[in-house]
Parts: sequence; structure tokens; C-alpha cells
Amino acid sequence: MDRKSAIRLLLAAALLVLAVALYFLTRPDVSSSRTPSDAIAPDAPSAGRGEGSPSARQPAPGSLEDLRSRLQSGEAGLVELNALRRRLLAAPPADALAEIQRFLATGQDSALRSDFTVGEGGALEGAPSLRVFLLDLLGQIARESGSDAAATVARGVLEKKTSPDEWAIALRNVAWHDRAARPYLAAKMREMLAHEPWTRSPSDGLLEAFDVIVYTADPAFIPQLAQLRGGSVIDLQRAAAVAMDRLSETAPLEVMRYLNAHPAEYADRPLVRADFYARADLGVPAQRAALETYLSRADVGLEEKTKLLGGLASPASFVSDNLLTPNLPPGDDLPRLQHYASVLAEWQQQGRFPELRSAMARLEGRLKAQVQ
Amino acid sequence: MKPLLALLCLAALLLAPSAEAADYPYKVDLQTSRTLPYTLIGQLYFASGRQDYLGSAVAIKDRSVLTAGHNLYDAETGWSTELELRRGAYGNSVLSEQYASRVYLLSGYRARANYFGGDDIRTFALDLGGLRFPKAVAGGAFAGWSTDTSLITNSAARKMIIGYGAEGANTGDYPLTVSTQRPFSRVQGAFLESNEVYFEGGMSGGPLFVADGEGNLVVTGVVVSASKKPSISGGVRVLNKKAANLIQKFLQ
Repeated sequence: MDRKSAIRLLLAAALLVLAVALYFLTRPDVSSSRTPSDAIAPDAPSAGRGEGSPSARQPAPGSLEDLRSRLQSGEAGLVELNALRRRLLAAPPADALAEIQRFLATGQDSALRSDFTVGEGGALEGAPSLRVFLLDLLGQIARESGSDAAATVARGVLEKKTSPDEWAIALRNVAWHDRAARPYLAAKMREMLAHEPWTRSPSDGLLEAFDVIVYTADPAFIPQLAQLRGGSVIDLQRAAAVAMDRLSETAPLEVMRYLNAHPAEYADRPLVRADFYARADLGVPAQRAALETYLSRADVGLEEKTKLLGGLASPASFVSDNLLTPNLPPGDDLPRLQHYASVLAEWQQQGRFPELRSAMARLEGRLKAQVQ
Repeated sequence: MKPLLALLCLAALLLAPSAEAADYPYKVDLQTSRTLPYTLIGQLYFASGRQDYLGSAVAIKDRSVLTAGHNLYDAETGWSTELELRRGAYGNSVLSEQYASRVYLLSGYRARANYFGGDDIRTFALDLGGLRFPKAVAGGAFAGWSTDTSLITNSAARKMIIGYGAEGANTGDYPLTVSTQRPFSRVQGAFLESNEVYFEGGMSGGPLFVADGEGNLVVTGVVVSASKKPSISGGVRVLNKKAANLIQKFLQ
């Protein structure tokens, strides 16, 4: 074969290889993940209530009933839901509230292929059903306009255990309207967590509702959170762990006092329990006193106390968009570290916590180097 | 004769190995380790439970780094403590050392536990974390970042992953890098994996750099899942809107 032919042959072969490579590179992505905001109507029939009405009345075009029907049939999806959101948020609040309430009163619903996803400020970025979607908007519009409509509807939702996701938004809507409702919310939260059909396979809304516990700042939830953390449902374990951690951050004094008064709580997880005390603000006398009580306890081991000392030097937080509670703003670390170093020096000078002497000395030295 | 030769040439071309089955990390030399972006990456030593561990981190703001969530929290033993960043560590030498003063873990009440099932610790392991320090981490320098995921999923883009791997002959005292054009695929949410790129233990928290449209290397994710032999797959947690919120509002 001459040289020219060989080159042509090689080029032909190279082109073939290129064609094969391009085929594999451009084939469709087979990822199984779904787009969270995809809201195409489901395959299953509507789970809405109030079906089988003897009336064959066609819903008015553009109405919420019409949208529900089109969502069910697959004619409507995310585009229409976003348009609805824009329309309702732009409408006079009284009109929007009335329209939503009328639809919610029908009991009709449509499943949406979205996760229950909390966004900034507690508003939903994704809703699993049309009713949850509308309850969320109802809450937002009512809060903005100062109306009690959302809270009123919410209390009605909370009378029956129809949907944990609706309960989650209803709890939020009550809290948004009534700052004195913490006891009511705490009671409803306990009721929610006691409902076995819901906790057996917790929905995203139920898990997000753990934020209500943090919002109530009620340390009486601690035993229940400890129990859930040690339970068999993985999702509840995590939600309980995060909720307890954030509760200790939101209400550090209440949590420390409760744990000091109930030494058996979290005794099986001593290194986690140390974290709950690491939120103490040593500049607040009552919090410092509660922390010192803990460090003086004979039932608390050296390992746990040592961890607490380390945790005070680098306090930690979960960061997330929550239904009700904001993330605490980052403070200034330098003054806090300087003060902690001085407290350590004071403890050593006073001969307090002798078993922690070497740990305190090491930490004090490190902190001083950090803040110089 | 010609058809036979054509077949042989074609067969030769088709059968010739175009590349290895995966890209593996290799140790960076000292001179390279003293250049950007390597000088923005450090060892992260931390105590978790009763043991000390090693991970990696990247300077993302003047006094903050990004790392993997599982370096910061463990479901059984709680938050990590004694978090020390040894920036530019190379054997016994280091460019700077500091202890973290604040820890943030981007994680809420929900998890994708149903994806991994049962007791998989990856319910927390796929999260992103940030650390703040009292002083500048890298003398005022830090990495740029991007939430453009297409930079990672694009197989043509060259990706660079850096971290302190500690497997086999690697002790975790030297930065390793993987340079690859292999694509990462979305597994769930912000978690992407590649079964053609190998990450060593210890590289968790190390950055994934990609060149942006202007040719600048930007962090688009961090390693959150090391490969476990014989499986090659390595996972990254990409930077998305929530990660951007963490960086902008909580890190400094």
C-alpha cells in the first residue's frame, strides 16, 4: 500500500472512532434525579377530597378549580403554578385571600411532583400538593396584609389529621399571626409526633415541622427529641438531632437548666450532650452559672467536659431555611474568644474544675495566640 | 490485501487504549504546592468523638474555608472540635496554621436518607460546611467560586480536585491533585458523582476547581465522598444557591 492510501485509511478509521465517541458523549443523561420544582400532574388519580360531587358543573376557566382539573389531566404544570403565584401575590390581598379560602373549603386537591421545600423566610419553594401550595400563599398574603385569615384556616386544618404537610404549613401560619400561640403550637406538635401513621413514614413537611419545636423554645420537648433520636426511623433521628441542637442554640439557658435538672437525658450520648452546653454565652451570668453547674457535676465524665471546653472555642450551627426560626447571625469571634480565655484563666486561678486543669491551660494558651 | 489491512488498522485503532479507566490523584511537588491555587488549600485536622481525623479545606473568603460536612459533624458524637487548618502543608512545612473559631454546617431537618437507606452515614456526609477563623487564612487571598454546575457536568471542561489524600503510600501530609475531563453526573440534589475519578480518604473537603468562562479557576464544589476500593466513584457537593447563601451570609 502506498503512503497516500495508508493516510487515507487511517483518517477513515479516525473518523469512525470520532463518530462512536460523539455518540456516547451526546446520549441523553440517565440521571435519576428529578428537578425539585417539576410540578407536572401525577399519574395517580386525584387524592382530593370532595370528589364524586353529583354536580357536573365545569369549573370556570382560570379558576382554581379549573387549574386543579388541568393539573390532574397534565394540561397544567409548573408554568401555570408560577403564574398563579404571581397573580395571587399581585392581587388585592382581600380578593386573593377570599379566592384561596373558597377553594380550600371545597376540600379538593391535586398532587404536585414537588418536594416540600422551605425557602428563604419560611416561604415554600416547592409544595407536594395544590392545597399545600395555596396554604403557603395564604400565609404569605395574610402576613403581609395583617389578616387573620390564614391563621383561622390553619386552626381548622389542625383539627383533623388529614395531611402532615398541611399541618406543617398550618402551624407556620398560626405562628406567623399569633406570637402568643407557642403553647398551642407546642401541643399540636406533640399531637403530630404522637400520630403513628405519620411518624412511621414521615413526610418532608413533618420533618420540616420540627422547626416548630425550636420556635417554641420549650425544653419540655427534650425527652421526646431524645427518644426520636434513638428510635428506628432514620429521618426522625436526623430531624430530632438537628432540632435539639438548634433548640440548645435558640434557648441555651432553658436547655442547660433542663439538662442539669434531668441528668439522665442524653447521658447515653455524652459527647452530643456536651454540644448543648457549648452554646452558653459566658458573658451572661445565668448561662455561665448553668454551665459551671454542669462542669461541677460528678456524673459528667472528663471526656464530655473536655469536649465542652473545645466546643466553646468553636461554637457550631446548622444553617438552613426553616419554616419559622432564622439562623442566628454570625457574631464577632474575637471578643468572644478573648472573653473565653479570661474565663479559663479565672477558673484556673480559683482552682475550679481541677480535673480539667491541663485542658484549660492548653486551651487558654491557644486562644491567646489566636486573638493576638 | 487492502480490505484486510483496513480491518487491521481499524481494529488496531479501536482496540488501542485511549486512556486509563479512571483518573487517580498524584502528589504535587513542592514548587507547585507553593503556587495558586494550592496555597489556598490546607489540611484540616479535627477531633470527632474519641479520635482525630484528617480532611481538607479551601480558603473561600478572607477568614473562612469550605470543607465537607462530615468533617464537622457526626451523628453519634456530635460536632467536631479542635479544628486546625494547616494551610499549604507539605511534609513538615506549612504556610500557616490556625484553629477555627466558628463552625457552620449547611444542613436542615430533612435528609436524603431514603436514597442511601438504613444506617448510611451519608445522611450528613453529603453536606457542605464552612469554618471561620479569627485571622486571615491566606494573607487576604482566597478562591473564587461559582454555582454554575454545567462547568462540572461538561465533560470537555478540565477539572482539578485537590486534597490531602491519605491512602496507601500517601500519608495525608502532601497535597494530591486529580486533573480530569471526565464528567460528573448528578445523583441527587447537589450531590454529583463520577465513577471514573478516584478520591482518596483525606481529600474530603478539598475543592473541585473548574475554569470559568474567563479562564479563571473557580471552586464549584467540594469532595464529600471518597472512593472505596474496588469502587472508584468519588462524590462532590456542588455549590448551589444555598451554598452561596452560606458563603455570603455566614463566612467572612
